[in-house]
Amino acid sequence: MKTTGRFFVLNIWVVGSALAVVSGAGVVIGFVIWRGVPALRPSLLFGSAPPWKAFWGHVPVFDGLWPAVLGTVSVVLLAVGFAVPLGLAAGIYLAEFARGRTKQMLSVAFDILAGIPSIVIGLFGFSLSLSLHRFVSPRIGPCLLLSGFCLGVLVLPYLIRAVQSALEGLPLSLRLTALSLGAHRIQNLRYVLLPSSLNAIATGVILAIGRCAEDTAVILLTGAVALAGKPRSLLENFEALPFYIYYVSSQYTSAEELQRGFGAAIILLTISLGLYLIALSIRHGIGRRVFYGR
Amino acid sequence: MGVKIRLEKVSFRYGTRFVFQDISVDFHEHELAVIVGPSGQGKSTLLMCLNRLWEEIPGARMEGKVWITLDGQPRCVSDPSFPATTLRRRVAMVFQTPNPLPMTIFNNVAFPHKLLGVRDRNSLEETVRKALMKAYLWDEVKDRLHEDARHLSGGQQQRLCIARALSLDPEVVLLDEPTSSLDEKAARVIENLLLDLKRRLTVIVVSHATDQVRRLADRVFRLQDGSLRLDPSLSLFCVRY
Repeated sequence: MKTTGRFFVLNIWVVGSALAVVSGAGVVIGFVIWRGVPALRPSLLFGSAPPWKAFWGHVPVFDGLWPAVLGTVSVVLLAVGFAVPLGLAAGIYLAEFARGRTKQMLSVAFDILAGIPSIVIGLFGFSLSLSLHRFVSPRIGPCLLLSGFCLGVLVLPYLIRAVQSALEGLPLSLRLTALSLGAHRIQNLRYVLLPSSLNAIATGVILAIGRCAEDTAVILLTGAVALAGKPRSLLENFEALPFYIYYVSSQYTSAEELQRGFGAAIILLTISLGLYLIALSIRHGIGRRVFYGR
Repeated sequence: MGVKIRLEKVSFRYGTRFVFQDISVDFHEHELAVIVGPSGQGKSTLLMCLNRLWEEIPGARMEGKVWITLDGQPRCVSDPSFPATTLRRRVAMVFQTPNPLPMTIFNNVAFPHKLLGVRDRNSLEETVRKALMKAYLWDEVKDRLHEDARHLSGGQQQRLCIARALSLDPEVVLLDEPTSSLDEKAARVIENLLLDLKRRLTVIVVSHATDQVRRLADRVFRLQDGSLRLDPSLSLFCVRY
């Protein structure tokens, strides 16, 4: 009877917590949608420019969010493109090749890196841009490339840990299967271990994408500005949605402007969802080819 | 009957904990030897010493020498200069729990051959067919070779793993409690398969089931308290050798 009572309490706690988290997220998203939907018009993205022409970049957009959408997508892709290959390699090294003290020291280093607040990473990027400006070329300053790099640094430790724990979580029996059939360690990694941990690795990448898309502190100091137009080169300033949302929420002058901020939040959520779906379909595609390919 | 495998003063430890010490024993050609003993005494580890799979386990360390006659020549396979990948293709291993890879039945058997660079579809099909026939599985799966191997029953999965191991034409097969996760009927099919195998190969089986040991074994060894000895009480029943 006592045990049943305990299970009942545990059940309530577990189910209640899950419901609280889901409903909390639901309330936030619902609120953003409720406040933002009235602002969702072509003019939110393209301002007074003709939408179709502005979409393809034939005419500039001055009072819309389209440049910020392009800036956000560019900076996220840059960051993920930089962090994923590096994170994958470092995670594989930690899980499969590093041993003893090297492994311990690297693990501690990555944990410390994961604990660094994003504003500090932003400051690091800003200092880096000053040094580059002084010692390499006066043309270099805060820019899209630097923001992408710093966001990559921000999510790198999460990616490394995601890859490492995905690989280390595989059962020993699976780990030994291909080796017992005469596979080299690299073949084992390529054909068995990586495909089997693809789901967990993809989760890490998806979280990293979300983190890159939402972070404001890093881009604030490394290249995002309020008005820059669509991104023209890697070495120039750019607009980004999280920066716009931060800017509007702290300095709005009218209810309509605040509503546009909520509209921007909906667009940011949609971009995250879109990138998430792309990552998912890539994972699915790779998974099918590796497992069932001829 | 010639000596197929010779262990010379083989000791094994994980970190500082010795699992067994100074084991010296011969296994003969075309013999089905069974290793029995309480859990945790290192029976599976002993099998892993024969194909050097222990090298993949962090903290493990083996001392001593293992000689195996491969292609008619005795080779010191415990020597690091002998390639572990070659050894593992000639000394195949089947694990306690069936471990098909997450791919189709066909690809599971073709996998080790693809690793070797075989790409010719016809030759792969022939290899897969032969291996599945050797493992008494062909008739049951020939119409669904391209289904996920994990959808097979436990007994079928284990025979698939045996087929995969046999497809490489090994000279020695090591089986770590191959029937412990199977029902009586599936276990009997595998036992018959093992008796058939020893006509061509040397088979070493770790087993817990006394009845099975009596049905299968040419010789029975007991691994206990860090040493390996012939088990006289069980060996009495082994009339075939």
